[in-house]
Amino acid sequence: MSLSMIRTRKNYSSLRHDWWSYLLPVFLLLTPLVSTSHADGGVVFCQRTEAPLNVTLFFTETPLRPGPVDLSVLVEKTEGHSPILDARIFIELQHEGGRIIRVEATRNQARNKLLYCNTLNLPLAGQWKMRMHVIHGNNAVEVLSDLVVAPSQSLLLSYWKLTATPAVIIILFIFNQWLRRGPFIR
Amino acid sequence: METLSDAVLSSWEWNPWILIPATTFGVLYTRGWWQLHQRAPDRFGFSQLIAFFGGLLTVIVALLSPLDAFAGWLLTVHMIQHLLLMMVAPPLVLWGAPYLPILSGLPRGFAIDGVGPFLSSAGLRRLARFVSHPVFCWSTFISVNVGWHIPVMYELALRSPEWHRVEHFSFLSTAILFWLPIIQPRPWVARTPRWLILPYLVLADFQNTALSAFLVFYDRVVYPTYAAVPRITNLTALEDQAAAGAVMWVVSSVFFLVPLGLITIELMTTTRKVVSANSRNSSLRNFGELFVSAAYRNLIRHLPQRCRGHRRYAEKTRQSRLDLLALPVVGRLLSWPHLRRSAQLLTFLLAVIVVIDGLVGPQMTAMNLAGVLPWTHWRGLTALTLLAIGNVFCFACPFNFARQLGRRILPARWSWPRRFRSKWITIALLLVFFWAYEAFNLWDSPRATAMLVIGYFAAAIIIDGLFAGATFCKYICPIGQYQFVQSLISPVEVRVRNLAICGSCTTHDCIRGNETQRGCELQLFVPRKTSNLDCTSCLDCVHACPHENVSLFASIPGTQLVQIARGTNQSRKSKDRSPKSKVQGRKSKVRSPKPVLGIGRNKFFGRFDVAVLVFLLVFAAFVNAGLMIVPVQAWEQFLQANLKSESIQPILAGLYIISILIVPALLVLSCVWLTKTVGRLQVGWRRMISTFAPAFVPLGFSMWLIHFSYHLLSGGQTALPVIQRAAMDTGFNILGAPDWSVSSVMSSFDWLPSLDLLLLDFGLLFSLYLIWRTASRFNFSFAKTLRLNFPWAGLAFVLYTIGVWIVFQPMQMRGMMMPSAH
Repeated sequence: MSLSMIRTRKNYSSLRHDWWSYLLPVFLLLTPLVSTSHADGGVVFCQRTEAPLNVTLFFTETPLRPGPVDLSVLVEKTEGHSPILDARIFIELQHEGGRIIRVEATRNQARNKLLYCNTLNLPLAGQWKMRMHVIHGNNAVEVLSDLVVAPSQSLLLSYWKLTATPAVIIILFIFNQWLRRGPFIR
Repeated sequence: METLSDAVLSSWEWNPWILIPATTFGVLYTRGWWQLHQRAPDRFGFSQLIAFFGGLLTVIVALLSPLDAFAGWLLTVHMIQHLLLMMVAPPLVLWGAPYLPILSGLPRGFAIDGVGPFLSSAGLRRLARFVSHPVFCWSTFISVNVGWHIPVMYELALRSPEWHRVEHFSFLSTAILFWLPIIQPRPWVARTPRWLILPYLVLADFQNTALSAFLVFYDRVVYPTYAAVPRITNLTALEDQAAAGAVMWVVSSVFFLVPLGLITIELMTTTRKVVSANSRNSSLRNFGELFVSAAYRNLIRHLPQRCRGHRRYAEKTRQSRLDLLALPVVGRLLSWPHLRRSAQLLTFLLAVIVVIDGLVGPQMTAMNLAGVLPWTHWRGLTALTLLAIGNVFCFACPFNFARQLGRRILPARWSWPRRFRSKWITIALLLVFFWAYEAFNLWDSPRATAMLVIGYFAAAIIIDGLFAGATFCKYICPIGQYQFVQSLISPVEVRVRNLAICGSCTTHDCIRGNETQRGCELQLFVPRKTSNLDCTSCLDCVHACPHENVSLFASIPGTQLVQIARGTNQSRKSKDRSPKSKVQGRKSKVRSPKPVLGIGRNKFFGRFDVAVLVFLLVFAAFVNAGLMIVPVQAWEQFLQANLKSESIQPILAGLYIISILIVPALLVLSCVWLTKTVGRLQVGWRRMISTFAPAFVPLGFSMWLIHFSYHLLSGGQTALPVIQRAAMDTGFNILGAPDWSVSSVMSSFDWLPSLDLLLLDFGLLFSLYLIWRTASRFNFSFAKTLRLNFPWAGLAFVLYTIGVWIVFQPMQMRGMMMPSAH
């Protein structure tokens, strides 16, 4: 079996209709599109203990930037540190320019089911005041904090995977053609 | 009430970044394993299959289970996750000997033409030899393991999800390399004596012991994140760190020492043939050679069988296109003679309702059917159907009734003048339409939209009432030309089932018609038809053929463009390609030359007017979308203010002349000049443009699709209140009162920019591929073909960059929503 047969085979490429060849890259390229899950947990942003509740707020990545931001909250009992799973958490963010965002964090949206999570869409950079209201039975805790949202990254950087993919495929294709046509096949 | 353990155990994540590649590998492995198992069940048995899937499952558990969710809170859990990725998954995957099964599982064409050249490259083989050397494998594994446990690096991974993924990927990949010389999966052949694996494992265990002992005995928390996170167990951060170290120590040592013992026993009980250092360069014993030759043996195993009979192969090829009319239910539906008339009646009624509402309904765009349905819904749906099905609009064309009416009331005898039998009139009409759309805000005027539709009906009646055949469709209709060009990417095409039957046919009813059924009005002879251009998918030829030899075939979207770029077509394939010449690898006397540019069956694509039409529609896609975005609108206003023009129309006319005519002409002519200069080609500039024009269809189509799907997705919900309003106005209250708040809120989707970029990526890559294929027809060397590509590829990149810029700008719905949405 010699490699000359491979070259002979190459001439049949125009006759070949292999659905797999087309569907496979499409299937793999769809991965970034269907990736809708959001991370939770991450970096501890602030903690507040007010008996009988202990509240910890996490952000997935710091510094915060305009756009979708994953925010998650852990509510524990002060004694024994056992997580509370039936609290209600309301978050209000107010920008220095006056814009207000209100969301409720729920466990349904969290991957780590000990956490309450929501994805905030921060529209603006700058100073934000955050007020988080945690209610569990008759107990309530309010957490106040300041958020600094850094200026947004370039959109090209945000979507670098999708803009870089063609470049990678083009390089591989040229390399492939070079190997096929050049004197480098043994 | 949900318990704590329930909450912990339900913390799984269905992350497609992990699941889709894992499923793909699983499917490829199973497909290839099955082929190999049938031939060599002793070498590719069920144990390999189970081991491979065990490895994949371990990776999935490590990355998607609660282990990952709690890795940031407990170092012990994080350590277990890493051990699964480094100690459990890699040996299992390698035990499955995945190389040959995955290679066999790949689509054959992709494996031979896509992967084959890489596997046979001498340079890459040298690289593979270097990377798979035990010294490299060991040192990489150890470096990565130690490197990521340095506090700065570990903290980086804990704080950044992106770096965390990099960490996991590096653990998994280097661990696979590490376990390669130990497991030695088929067709891997050892290049060092087997006994060297003993110090290999012992040294790895030394490193593991040192690192584990450090974590166990260090009296401070090494990774500050674990000191800051809430403690969800009774363990303190320091105790957690010591436990993590202990787990790492014990588990890793077991995984190092068990193989150590097994290999020692193996060495003591068997006489193993060792590859000596002197024979490393021997081609057969060389790892790289074996790596590649085994792959090739497997890849080309079927080749002689497939080449044995060209007819058999051709039959298989033909079968790969799906004959839609042969399908049980779909085929019967499509063959129903009244299907087209029913669809046309439906769209005609819809058009009449839109016209009436446009004329007499409220003149607020978002409240009128003529303001919403044509501009938001119809355009988006036709673009989607072009990609998914084909030229559905022409099939169900509402103007067909007007054409039939014209034929009844007017003579319909004359022949369309020969000098007008081209696309130039349509090109002019398209230019006027694109300008008028912006200049007169057609989208914002239901009455103007209604008048446009009425004008269209009138033109169809007059043209087809005076001239024979489908003159209006072929030479006048701008929508039709748009559909024809974009349908080159569609998966559905009217073709003959068997060319031999057409060869013996004497009546040619498909084009001439017969007593009961007219033939193709657009004068397309199906056996010589090479693409969807000028085909309205009316299926007249299907019904007219007495041999039932014409059908609708589905293939991969874009197949027609690939054939056009290659210069191949249906009849050429079956007639000219001699099977003997290919099979035996020798030159044949009957072998046909490569198709000459623009000459041959693909007559359409040797025509300059068609090329201009294609380029017009490509550039118009970007200009039309560009005029929707805020920065361009600001420029328009800036120009209007600085030129002190009272009306925007001359400004727009100027912009259109520059952006759709002058700039494209200059760009395309520059490409021609560069191509001719670089290639020293003696090809006319018109022919050159005609040859490369079809390659740009995918890029243009992707931009149209992005633009129209944006409107459809953002304003899709606006149809409901408008329909409710129209129903109420006519006295039908069954749909209820309209909820106008729906029309004032524009839907936004986080994934829309990703989708848009993905579409643009597809468009660019497909266009570049077609450019490459077209340039390859000149039969130059690789370097020269690459140089020929540069000008046209550069033009595609310019358009892609403009497209990316447009996608990132805020786009406006311009009158198609209620005012509060602006």
